[in-house]
Amino acid sequence: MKVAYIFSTQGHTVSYKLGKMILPQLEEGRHGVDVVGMFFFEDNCFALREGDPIGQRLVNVAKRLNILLMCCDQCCYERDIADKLFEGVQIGCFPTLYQALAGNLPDQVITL
Amino acid sequence: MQSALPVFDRYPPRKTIYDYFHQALRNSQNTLRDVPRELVSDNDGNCVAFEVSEEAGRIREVRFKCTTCFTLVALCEHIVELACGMTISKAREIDREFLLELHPEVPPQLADRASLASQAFRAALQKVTVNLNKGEPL
Repeated sequence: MKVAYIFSTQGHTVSYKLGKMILPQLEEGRHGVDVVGMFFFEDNCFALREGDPIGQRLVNVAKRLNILLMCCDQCCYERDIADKLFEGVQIGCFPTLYQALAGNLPDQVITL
Repeated sequence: MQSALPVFDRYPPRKTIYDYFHQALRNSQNTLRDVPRELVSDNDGNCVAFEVSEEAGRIREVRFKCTTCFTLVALCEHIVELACGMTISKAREIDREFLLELHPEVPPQLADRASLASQAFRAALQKVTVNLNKGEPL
């Protein structure tokens, strides 16, 4: 099964659910499904700002597993990080996300 | 004696893409109700149309309509702000490089939005120029 994650809520979404659960499982090849994309909203976008340790690990695993990483463009402009993200991380809105996933569609979209 | 107040690194503050998008929302009277023929589109499914009116050789009013890409809306709104009061020949200098220089926060992936906005604006300017040459009312 293929899934896409949307990191919408804040709190411990990135530090715990992504950093302590999803990311280590992907790194160890035991997540159980193929992840085709991850989309980040609001402060979750900071995880993909260049220099972030969780973001660096995520970018590395995304390159290896061909996972799309995209942040909400409005969220990034508001936080002044649109041009400060890791190389290869895109910004956009829903049309950009759907277009980017069109060649590798997920079976399920999980909103966290 | 030095002030203890924080020193702002950019004063007056530069308006960013985020600011211009929200300015566009507030200035919704700038939105064209009908899309004129000068509709310019790109391969990502975005399109823009500008309408320019002129008075005594200077741009009096600029209106636009575009797809709801955040970056594109903001760049179009900035063109409106820049162009009002300019001569038509000066307004032609508003191009992709000019817009991107004003907005270094636009990532390379979205730099083509600046091309699209400036091309659409130039198409509208061209129409004004043509009408001026013909002596037709705008």
